[in-house]
Order: sequence, then C-alpha cells, then structure tokens
Amino acid sequence: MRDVRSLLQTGLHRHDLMVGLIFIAFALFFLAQTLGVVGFVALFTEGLAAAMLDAALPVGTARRMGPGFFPLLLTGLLFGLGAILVVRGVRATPDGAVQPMPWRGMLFILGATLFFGATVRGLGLVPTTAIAVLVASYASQRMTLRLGLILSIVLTIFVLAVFHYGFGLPLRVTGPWLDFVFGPG
Amino acid sequence: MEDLLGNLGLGMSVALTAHNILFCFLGVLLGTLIGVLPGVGPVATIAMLLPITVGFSPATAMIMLAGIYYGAQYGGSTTAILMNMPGEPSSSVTAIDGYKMARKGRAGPALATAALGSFFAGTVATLVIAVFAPPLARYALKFGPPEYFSLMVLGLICAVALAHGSVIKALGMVILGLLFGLVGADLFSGMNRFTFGIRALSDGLSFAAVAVGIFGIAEILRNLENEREREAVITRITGLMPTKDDLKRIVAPILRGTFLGSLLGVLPGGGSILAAFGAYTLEKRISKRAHEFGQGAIEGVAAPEAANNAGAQTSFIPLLTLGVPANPVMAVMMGAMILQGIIPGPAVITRNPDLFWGVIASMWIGNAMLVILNLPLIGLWVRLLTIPYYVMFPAIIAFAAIGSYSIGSNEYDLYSLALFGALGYVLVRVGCEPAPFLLGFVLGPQMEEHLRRALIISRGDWSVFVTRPLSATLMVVAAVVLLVVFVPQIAKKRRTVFQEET
Repeated sequence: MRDVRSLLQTGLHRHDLMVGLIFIAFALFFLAQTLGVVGFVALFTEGLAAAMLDAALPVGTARRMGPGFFPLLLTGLLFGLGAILVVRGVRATPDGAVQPMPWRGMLFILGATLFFGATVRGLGLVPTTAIAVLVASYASQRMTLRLGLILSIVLTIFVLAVFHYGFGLPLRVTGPWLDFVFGPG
Repeated sequence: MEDLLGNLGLGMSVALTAHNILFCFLGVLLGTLIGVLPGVGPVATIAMLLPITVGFSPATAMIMLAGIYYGAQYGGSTTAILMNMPGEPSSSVTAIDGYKMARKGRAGPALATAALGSFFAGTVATLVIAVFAPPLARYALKFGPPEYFSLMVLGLICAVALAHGSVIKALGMVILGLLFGLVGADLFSGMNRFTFGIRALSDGLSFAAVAVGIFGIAEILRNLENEREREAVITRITGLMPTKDDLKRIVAPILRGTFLGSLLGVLPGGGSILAAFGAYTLEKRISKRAHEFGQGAIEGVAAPEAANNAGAQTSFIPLLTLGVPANPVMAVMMGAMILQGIIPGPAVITRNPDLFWGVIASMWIGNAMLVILNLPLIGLWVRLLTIPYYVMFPAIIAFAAIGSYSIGSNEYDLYSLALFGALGYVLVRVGCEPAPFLLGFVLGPQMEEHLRRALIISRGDWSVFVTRPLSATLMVVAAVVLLVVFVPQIAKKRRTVFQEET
C-alpha cells in the first residue's frame, strides 16, 4: 500500500507521464478486449495482420467493418498519444507541490455509492438511502455522528417525499430483504 | 417572416400551458440554486434529474432541463459579483469587475446590469435560434454519412482546441470517451463489446451514470481535498438601479456581447465560457476607459454577462439542427432527448415542432422569470451560501445515486457511477479535462455508425471524406483547427487566455 501511495504521489508530480501511462493502460485494455487472448499474443509474435485475423471481435475490412474495426483504430490512436505523453513526461521537470489524495473522501464516497448499488434492490429506497448518506457524510473530516444522523434522517425523508411520492420513481420503499419485518409490498 | 411568427406562436402555445410554465419555473429555480452554489454544476444536475423527466412529455422535459442550464448562468454571476466566487466557470470573467464594483458599494447596479444584460441577450438569442435553426436544419437534411462523420470529427476537434490545458491530453480524453461509448452490443453484428459477459452492460454504459460520475462525484472528491470554510463575506446591497450614466455605458457592450455570444455559442467546445471571455477582451480593447477595467468597470460586467447567456442559448442550435452537442451540457440534453425516444438531428424541427418551438419560446419566458427571481430575491440566494459544504455533498451523493439507479433500475449503473467518479477525479488531478471525454462518449456509437455507412457507400474507399465537397470542407477546417493549436505562438497565446480566465 505504501508503495502504491508513493508511486501515485510521484505520478501526481509528473502529470504528462501519469496521463500517458493511463492512456496506454486503457489502450492495452481495450486492445486486449478487441483482439482476445489469441489475437493479443499474435500481435506481439506475428504482427498486426495476423492479430486482426485472430481477433475476438472480427475486424473486417474498410468496406465491411466488423465490430472490432473502430475500437482497433481508436486504441491505436490512444496508444500513440499515450506514448507521446510518456516521452514528454519523462523529459519534463516535476510539476511541483501537489495536494495529497483525499483517501478518506474517496473511501466513504465511493463506498456509499457502491453500497447503494449493491443493496437498493434488496433493502429498498429508505434503508439504503439512510445508510448511504450516513456513510457518505463521513467523507468530511468535520462530520460528527450527531450531524451525520440528522443529515441521514432529513435527507431520507426528503428523498422519500420528493422522489417516491412526488415524482413517483419506481423504487420500493423497503425491499424484499426486509419483507420479514414489513411484509411484502 | 410570417413563418417565423407562426412558429413562435406555436412555441408560445406550448410553453404557456400551466404545466410547462410550472416546470420551466422549477428548472430556472433549480438552475439558479446550483448556479449560486459552487460544487455542483448543470451537467451533473441535469443528468441526475433525467429519471424524473422520463414520465414527462418530451417538450416539458426539455423545457425544464434547458431552464436549469441558463438558470445556472444567472445564478453563477450573482456569487461572482457578490463574493468573487463564480458559481459557474462562465461567470469567472464577470467576477473581475463585478466583484470590484461590489467592493466599492455598487453591488446593486452590477447585479442589475448582469440581469438586464442577460435578459436582453436571452431575448435576442431566442430570436437567433428561431431565425437560423430552421434553414440550418433544412441544409443538414442533405448530409449523408460522410458529412456526418466529418462534422463529428470537426466538433470533437473544436472541443479539444477549446479545452483547457494540453491538446494531446484532450485528444486522448476524446478517444477514451469514444471507446467507453462503444461498450455494449454492436448495432451491426449484435456482438457484445467490452461487457465482460455482464448482460446489463449490453445496452451500453448508462449515460447519466457516466456524466454524473465524471462531473458530479469527481467534483465532490476535489472539494474534499482541502476542506475549508467558505468565507461568506456578504456585501450589503443598497440600491439596485443603475444610474443614467451607467445605463448609457452598458448599452453598447450589451449589444456587442450579445452578438459575440450568439456567434461563439454555436461553436463546439464550451460556447458560453469562450463567449464571456471574448466579449470582455473586446470591450477592454475598444473602450475609452480601458484603464478602469479590472477596477470595477460596469462594461466589464455587462458584456460578458450578455455574451455568456447568449452563448448558453445558441449552443442549442447544433444539437437541435445537426444532432451534434456543442458542450457537455448539450451532451446531457442529447441523452435526455434519446431517453425520450427523440433522435436529435435535423428532423426534430419537422417531426417534433411542438418540442422545438416550445423549448425556444420557453427560453424567453424562462429568462423573464429569472430577472424576477434574481433581483428581488437576491438576499435569499446569497444566504444559501452559508450552508456548509459537509451538509451539501451527502445530499448530492444521495440524489446522484437515486438518479442514476432509477433510469434503468440497474445496479451496474451505480458501479459505473463510482468507477467514473474515481476515474474522473484522477484524470482531472493530472490535468485532463472531463468535457472532451463526455462529448466523445455520447458521440462514439454514432461516429462508428456513420463511418461504417460512409465506407459501405464508397465501397471501402477512404477518400470519400475528401472528395465530397461538404465533407472535404469540414475535414479541412478540422485539420486547420488542429494545426493552429499546435503552432507554438498560438499555443502560447491560448495558454495565457485560459490562465486569465481561471
């Protein structure tokens, strides 16, 4: 973890290098998905022409493009731009002091979002919103339990009134996981 | 001319129904609110509210969402003038002289100038759309796949040229956006692409989740980097009305700002921001009182405010006539239209005239509402700024989560929200702009489709893009724009422009 952190901090000092690596990583990711394992290996051993024949998403020809054609074109461009940035980034001087990463904020905010996705169907709108808001509020260093609970309750009532009763969004108030408490429906 | 009146009449008849007036009002109210509050912008707000509008008629939905956009332009200037805190990027120019005026005890006239300038510009821009959009749409009906592909290339290149920071990074962001836009089933072959076998991803990534993640969640993470209290030093406002001398000074700048804004708004890539900056620079250059600029010159408030509002409105032209969004807000509006089953493009005017003219007419009504909302109620808006951020962001998270989920009742949309929030934050941290990404994302599937069709027509001959005159023109313009941003001298100038702006 420490290594990852220090690496990230270095990356934040050298924007071009970092962006270049991100672009290359995404280019390779989409390229691997387009070509599939066989095609991806073929790209490095036998070259592009062979890789295109083995691609998981058929590339086709310009006249009859397969689903792999446009992605292949784009990954090539993205890889090229990433490479330019890496070269530029290695040569450049560091961009100077940077703000630390907001680890706490990321943990609680992304955690709350993922929690909402994982439980909204099962627990329903009210319990999920209440818990997700409480979790999210802790992203701030100033949060206290009292304030968090107040926020959670007020927002849950607001959401229920506006989104469920007001606009009639198709969300169950409590979900099937809680049917043993509240009964189905 | 008669046509125009008839069309505007149709628009008024749509916009003036009680239902649409109500939602227009709700839209501008909400827009003012988010414009005043830093930390949440129109892109994320409109994307979050998409599920609510699904049940509306298309015209009502677009009227409300458009209201949020131009309402935010108004709200943004209020905080720019009173507290030197532009709620929206396009108001940052207004802050230069507006805040100085407020410090000199002339906050009232500055606010009134901003409101009057915006209202006038909004009125003119409404007419500009009404006059120029229909012929443009008729012309666009002649476009074939090669023209559309070239047009999208040009649009994306312009967005890159007008993005802050490095051109190469912005280009990369466009391509990354295009790639993520391709996730899902391929329209021609039906094959799933980049879905990892997850069935929920066959329909593609949720547009709202990606937009809210990259613009909303990422912004919250940025604000949490450095938590400090906003200092709400509220300037007392005494006397709203500008003096006779003020009025004389602002007439010409408002006219010029409106003209420039209407023109620049149509360009892809951040119309209203560019418009505001351009108008300010123009006034400074031609004014006899150039030395007053930066010290509280009323012209420095009037011109950019007129320009950004005009630009905000005319940026609807490319979306409604060509189906190509000019900026991220228009990209979200495009998402809203598609969600309503309307394909944005030249056919909208003829197929959905009530939608087209209704939205245009509502802009004028909305602008009138904004003047009423903003001037007398200004104290209320300013008081909102005392709400601490740690109370605000949990609410934004809740709305974002509920909004993203309820469009498709799909939990993967929440995972996309978190993923693109994190990705968006990291990319912004290392100097990438989110706007080109979102434009690429919405245009990805269409660009591929037009490319395929164009090459089917030409039997695989790539020269089709340069042998058809219109397509060739678009491609040449795109190439020139790209070359120009790489010319060292202009690149340097571009950097200073964006520095002054921020």
